[in-house]
Amino acid sequence: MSLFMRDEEEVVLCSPMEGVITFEGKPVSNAKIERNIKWQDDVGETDTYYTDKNGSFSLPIKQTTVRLNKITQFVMSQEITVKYNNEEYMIWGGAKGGKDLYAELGGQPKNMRCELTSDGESVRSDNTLLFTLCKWDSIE
Amino acid sequence: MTILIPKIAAELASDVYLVQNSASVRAFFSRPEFASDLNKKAHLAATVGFRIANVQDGFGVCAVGAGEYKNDVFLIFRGSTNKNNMADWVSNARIGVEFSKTGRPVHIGFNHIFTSMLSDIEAFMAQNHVRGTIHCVGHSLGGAVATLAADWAKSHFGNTVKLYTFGAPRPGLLLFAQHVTNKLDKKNIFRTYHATDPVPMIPVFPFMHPPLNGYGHCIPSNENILSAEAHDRVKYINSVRFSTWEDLEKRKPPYSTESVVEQWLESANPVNPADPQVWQWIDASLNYVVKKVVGVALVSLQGIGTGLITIADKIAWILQKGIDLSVHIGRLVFHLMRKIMQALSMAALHTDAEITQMFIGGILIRLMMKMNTEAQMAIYKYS
Repeated sequence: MSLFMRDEEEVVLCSPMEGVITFEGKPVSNAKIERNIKWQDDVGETDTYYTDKNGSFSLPIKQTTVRLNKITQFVMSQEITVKYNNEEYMIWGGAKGGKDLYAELGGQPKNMRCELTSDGESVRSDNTLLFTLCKWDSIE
Repeated sequence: MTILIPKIAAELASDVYLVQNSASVRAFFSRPEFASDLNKKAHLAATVGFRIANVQDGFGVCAVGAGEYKNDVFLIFRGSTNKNNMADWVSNARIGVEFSKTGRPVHIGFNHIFTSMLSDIEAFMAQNHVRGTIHCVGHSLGGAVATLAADWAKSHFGNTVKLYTFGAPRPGLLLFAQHVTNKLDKKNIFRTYHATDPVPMIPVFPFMHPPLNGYGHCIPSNENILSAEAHDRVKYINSVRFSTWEDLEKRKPPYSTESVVEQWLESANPVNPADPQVWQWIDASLNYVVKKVVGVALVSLQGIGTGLITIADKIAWILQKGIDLSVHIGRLVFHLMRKIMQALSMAALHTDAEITQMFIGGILIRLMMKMNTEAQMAIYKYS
């Protein structure tokens, strides 16, 4: 059956992300960030990070290798939450389609900032359906 | 009467794959085509106007329209994903046939997925009184399920039903394709596919696509091999992004014209088995010749069996009947057999006396297996 099996492929489950988290405009320091990625079950994998004293965060790339046939469409759920003052804020939630790096937005967002009190907005591209509290200037 | 332009239909068919969690649900429904902009609703639980059917093997979204679609509803289905990997329909494992909700022979696997979502769809339709058009949309397996949904919707509601599919496999046998074509009307069926996408080739004949006697909206390709790359949902968006349905319909493949098919059958040039288009030509020819015979003999395909061998046997019987019917049809059957045998790299026929029902049946089984293998190879092979 080797003829019908695919070789393993690298898949980016979540592209790296950097930015600043604020509450009413002030940086949120040492806040707990949880990133949950689901791509093969309903539980997924959760990684924990913290903002620094300036409210900055840096989430690394998350990738895996899979064996798939080509007609299966690759999609994954991404949810990033921040705990602040006993409240939980989902700053980034949605889905990434496709296996490529930065498929979410088509590139790396520049000057990303996430204001916890903002209303948030929906973002769509052919490989993303997202609801986020974050804003960015451009994609590069 | 409203119609979705190709770009919007392709985006809906693609975006439904990305509905993965509450945030992406919210983003999906913020599209201007939908009434349920969840961003503006304070109480999500109290929101009506949409419903998500998420069952073990299937996923679909039902939504009430807004703006120019304000009297309409959308039924949108998705195909196989890594998480819910229902890709076994690609292989031959469940090629059986059973009767659809409207009593026509359809693919068992697709029908199971549709019927498992039906209670959700019925509840949604009962909750939302629809006066406008019912738009059924899907890519891949989702397109086959959308076809079953469109057939069901048309038989239950007086509304106009429009069906938009992208790279969908064949949902059922001739009688089903004929029924959908008649009920929906050809002008309401937008079957879109890349010429080199192997998925619309499967399951092989006698499974058929509605609309019958039409080749849908074929997007030509520069590649000359069947390739699973041509099945990608985003590739479909890119292919139709700037096109109208009229643009897409103009690019018919040559085998969509009956006189051209007849010329091809009668031409002395041998077919090249390495040319991927040969399977489409043979498929179109088999279709054409069976229709010639059935049209004359009025043989019903209703009772056609469910296995590959019974199906091949029944078609062989029809073709054998054709030989007896008229000299012209007999000659078409002879030419068809000759072309199929060339494509299968078999030795040439010398006289038409060799063409018995058993002989035709044997050739057809080899043909179906070969076409299926070709499609499977294109889907699974590493490139």
